[in-house]
Amino acid sequence: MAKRLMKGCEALAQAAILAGCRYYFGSPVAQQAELSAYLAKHLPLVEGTYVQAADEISAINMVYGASAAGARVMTSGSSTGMSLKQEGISGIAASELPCVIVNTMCGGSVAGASCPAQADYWQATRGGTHGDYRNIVFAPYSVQEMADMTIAGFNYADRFRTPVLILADSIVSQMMEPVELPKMPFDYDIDSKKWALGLPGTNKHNKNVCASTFTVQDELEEHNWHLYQKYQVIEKHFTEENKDLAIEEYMCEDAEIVLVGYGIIARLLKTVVEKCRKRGVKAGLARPKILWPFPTNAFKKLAQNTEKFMVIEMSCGQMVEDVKMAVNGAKPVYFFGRTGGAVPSDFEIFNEVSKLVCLD
Amino acid sequence: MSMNFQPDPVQTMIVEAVDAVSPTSGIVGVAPVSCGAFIYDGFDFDFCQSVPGCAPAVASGIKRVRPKALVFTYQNDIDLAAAGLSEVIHAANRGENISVIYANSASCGLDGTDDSRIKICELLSGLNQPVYITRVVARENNTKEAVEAIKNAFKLQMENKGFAFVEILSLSADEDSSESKALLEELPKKVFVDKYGIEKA
Repeated sequence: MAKRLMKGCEALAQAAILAGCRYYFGSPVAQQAELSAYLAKHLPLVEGTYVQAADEISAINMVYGASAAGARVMTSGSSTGMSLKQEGISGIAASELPCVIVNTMCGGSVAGASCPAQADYWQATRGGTHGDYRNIVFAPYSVQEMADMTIAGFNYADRFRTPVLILADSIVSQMMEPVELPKMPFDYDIDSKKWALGLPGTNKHNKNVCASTFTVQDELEEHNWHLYQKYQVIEKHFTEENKDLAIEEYMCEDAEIVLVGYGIIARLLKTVVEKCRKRGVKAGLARPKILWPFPTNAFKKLAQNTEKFMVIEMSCGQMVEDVKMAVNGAKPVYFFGRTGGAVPSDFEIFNEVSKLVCLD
Repeated sequence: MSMNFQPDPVQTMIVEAVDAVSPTSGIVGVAPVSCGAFIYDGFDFDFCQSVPGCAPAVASGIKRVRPKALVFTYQNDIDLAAAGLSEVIHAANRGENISVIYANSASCGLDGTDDSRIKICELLSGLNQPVYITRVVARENNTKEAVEAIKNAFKLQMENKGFAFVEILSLSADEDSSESKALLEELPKKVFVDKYGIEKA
């Protein structure tokens, strides 16, 4: 199949269309403005709908409605916008509505800065706001994965009736690489979800209700436990039954130190691993591709053979907590991070690694 | 354990209006936050809850996917005139083909004093897109005018005319204060926008 040279956010947008997404609600921001522009141009060509919402709160609540009506629907934002979307995401998750949400992370809090960062890990993997809920979180590290994870995201969102987050950074979003996209679009029937609202031909009938609030407290607790059980099924799917979907292990078989990173950082770490190997240090890379559910079992297994872990992030240290919980004290876990939009160089990371190991 | 839920009289008016326009391709209501969140219990058609003030955005999403369905929001003043002020303005300004039914019990949506209440009909009337904006009073023994206004909004939507807003001044039992009654008397009850002359039809 022929490859096309595309920007990460454009490949994601085209993949969404191929996955059957016909509705996008969002507002353009610098890190992924091309995503909105691409969909504004291409969605109408497939009888889709692009709405530039007044703000992120409007956008996520239009997603809420479109998903409740049975559509495959997407929105995107960048850190600040994601914070504004959180209440809506909570409602969507608790109402068990599927959708795909893209976050191209930028640095800092509040208005942040238009530069790459990974400081939204906690927000993405812990739910993001009040309530007992989780979202599936994919972490692409290439343009190809921006496309593949978007298609997978729509499928998993529908399968588990839950939001799926694509947690990217502004480098993966903006860089160009050859990408291979499916030739045939996914065949999606918008009337296939029997729980959806306003299905054609219906009038007064056994009504469908999308709700996360209940008049009876016992019902609310029952609903929360129902969500919890669903999240356990999702965890089992990614951490036990389909481990390869959740993590990539590179040169870990004999590694004495395992470097851990996701997104664009993992690309740098591959270079660092190769540098280490040339200097006689048995280094490996563990790259979580799915951040929730976190591939805990894979790290437990890695801890049996390696001597130490080093987690590298573009934050002050967020994913490192999940690695420490997974390793559970079996081996030491070190951390190196840059923050506020600074991207560490492979040389800089190599220097940090060399403090922990003996070089030839 | 059941929570206390006080059925809203506007609910009956909506049912009456829905029956009158008899939509054939689905009916979807969108509920507000507060006690009105459970209004779906009293209807026998599809309903969606929403987060505070965001019912017009949720309804917009539903309507974009289901253009033939009758889609309306039911919102009270704590939902629409406070947290949701931005959402109703932007839905109106986009000219979404939805109906917003606003039950104003005159207890929320003010900034400190009764004089500071934002008058929603007057505010929305400054926009170009809405096709129908009206304020009516619903009294215990006379809801005819309110039902007719809701019917007008629904008819306009079924004819794909666009955004309609019906404000119903309605005092609920526990909010029957003298201040609220004063507001009910003070606000102008009239048709603010009627682009298609449906009031005369």
